[in-house]
Amino acid sequence: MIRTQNLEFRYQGSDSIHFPDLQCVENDKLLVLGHSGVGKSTLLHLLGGLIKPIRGKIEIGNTDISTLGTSRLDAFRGKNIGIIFQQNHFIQSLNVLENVLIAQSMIGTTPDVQRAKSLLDSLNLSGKYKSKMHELSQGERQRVAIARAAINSPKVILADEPTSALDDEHCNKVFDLMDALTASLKCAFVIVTHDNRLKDKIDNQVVIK
Amino acid sequence: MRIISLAWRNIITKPLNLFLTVTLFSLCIGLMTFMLLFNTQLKEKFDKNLANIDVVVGAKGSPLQMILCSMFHIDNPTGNITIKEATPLLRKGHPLIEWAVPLSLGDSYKSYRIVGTNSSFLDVYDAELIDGHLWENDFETTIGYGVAQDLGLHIGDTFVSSHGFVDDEDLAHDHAPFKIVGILKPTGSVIDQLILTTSATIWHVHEHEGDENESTHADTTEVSTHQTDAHHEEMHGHSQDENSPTTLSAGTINQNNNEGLLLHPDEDITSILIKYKNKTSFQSLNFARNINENTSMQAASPAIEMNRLYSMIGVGADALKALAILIGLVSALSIFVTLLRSMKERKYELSILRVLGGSRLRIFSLIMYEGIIIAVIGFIVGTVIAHLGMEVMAHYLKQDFRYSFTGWRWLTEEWMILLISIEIGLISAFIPALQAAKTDINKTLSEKN
Repeated sequence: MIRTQNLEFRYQGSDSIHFPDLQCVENDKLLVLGHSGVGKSTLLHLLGGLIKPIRGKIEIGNTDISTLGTSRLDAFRGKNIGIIFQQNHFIQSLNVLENVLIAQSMIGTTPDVQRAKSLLDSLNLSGKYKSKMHELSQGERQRVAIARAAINSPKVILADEPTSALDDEHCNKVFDLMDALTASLKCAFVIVTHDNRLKDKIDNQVVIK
Repeated sequence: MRIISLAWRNIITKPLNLFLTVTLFSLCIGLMTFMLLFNTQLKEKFDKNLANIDVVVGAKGSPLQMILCSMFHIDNPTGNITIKEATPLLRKGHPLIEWAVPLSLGDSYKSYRIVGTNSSFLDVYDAELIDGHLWENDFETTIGYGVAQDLGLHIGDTFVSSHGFVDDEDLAHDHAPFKIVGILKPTGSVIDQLILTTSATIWHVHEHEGDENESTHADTTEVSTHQTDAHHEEMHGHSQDENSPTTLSAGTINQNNNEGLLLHPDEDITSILIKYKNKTSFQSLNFARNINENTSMQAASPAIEMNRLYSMIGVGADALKALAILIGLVSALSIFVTLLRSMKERKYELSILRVLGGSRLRIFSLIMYEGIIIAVIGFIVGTVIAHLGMEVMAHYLKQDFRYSFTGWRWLTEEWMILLISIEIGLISAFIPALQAAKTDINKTLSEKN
């Protein structure tokens, strides 16, 4: 589970941003809503430990990640936090399957090829193991990113605008996939978005102003 | 997937970059390795052929030429000396000389040199028979292992020599054929490439020709090049008692002296290989000077002359070395630029690896591995080029000088070159790797591309 308290961040030369406290337990979803430019992505980067707050706490499990040093934070993130970006980047020299497995290599565990394949299967990517990343469509790339975020069975998965570029049909599909994933991983799922279509699907909501 | 495999995958994804960096790098390594191979083998050949010879005495002329001719058999004689002149050196009991081995040169067979000498010559090069026996009578020959191999000669085969070093039928002598009676074990020294016979044989060959082919001989002199001219004068311009063919058996000369030769004071020999009893003694030091100042012969020290040659070759070697270093610097620069550029292109990938839990150290080592892999590939390609080049060069050296070099020899120093390669790879990759490790992942991933 994930919980924040009095979170505050400041970019150099700008005013500091206060974020409302938020909490998401395991096997649950949290929707963080807000218009463009209010700091949604900043919040996601804070939760993912990519930047550090100037004040406040971010607890994942029993660890306050705002107190971790860089390399311990990297290791903690690899094991416990999966992030799906709005624009996902992959290792171009590796194929789809390897791009999922690399997440395991980075935390030093033995790659579990079976698990990676079944994850890809569940995301309708079964025929694409050996495909190069540039051969995939935008939607397929996003699903590879979901598989990559889930492969290490993290405590928390963070998703940045996962549905905003999709039509209604695909929006529903992606949501169902993430919903199923949350249930099977028993993780906390935090979605940061301005996509109002998700409002009706997730009860737990926080709005950033 | 290990970091090193990821590095490998990253490198082969950009074959053009790889080609460029590896080409430059292998050029530098190839040049270094080639010079190492060539210098090592050349020095070994020279050292082996020095064979304890302290001084060489022959006709006046270029001392270096005399050494190259008499010890390495890659140049022509400076001329001949008469046995009368050389008698004090050849006679038993000279106070300074431990041994003196006379050489009569001037003929060859298929550009393998025929040397008229006595069996002490074998002792100079620690040579032994592998088959047959030593030459005893005139026109009997014992041949080096290399000659036998290269020309496919066997005991009992006969051949006709030609004049000088040139393999030319017009220069072939018209005389009794040489007969092979023995073959020597391979020694790695110049004796492998020689055909050994009696000194008298050389005299016979030339007096015979002088008697019967006066006119053709004159023609030959005209068409022959400078090198053969020298021989003709030296070898032919002496009187000879035609009615009593001189026979010097190897057996008599082998008895630790050159008495047989001394019976023919008017004949010529080309040079004498000499070892002092004590080369640091004052008299020994004066020995060469005495000969040079008081006789029509010259004495030269192989060590001094070879050092002179090395220092002459050294200028070229230094230039090559400088070139190798220059190419090395350029290739290091190209690895640096390539890695830096590909690192910038891949900054999102590198940030993702951090997001996935890869530490700064992992990112750093990823780029370092890429540098090392490029360097190692460059090393392998360069090494192969160098050895192939050496083998091709060996082919030409063998054609021109009858010296056997090989490209298929691996030196321990090549491990040093591998280490140097890896160092260059590490140094070139260091700054890109450091930059990659320091990348601000938040900033990179917030960028819209």
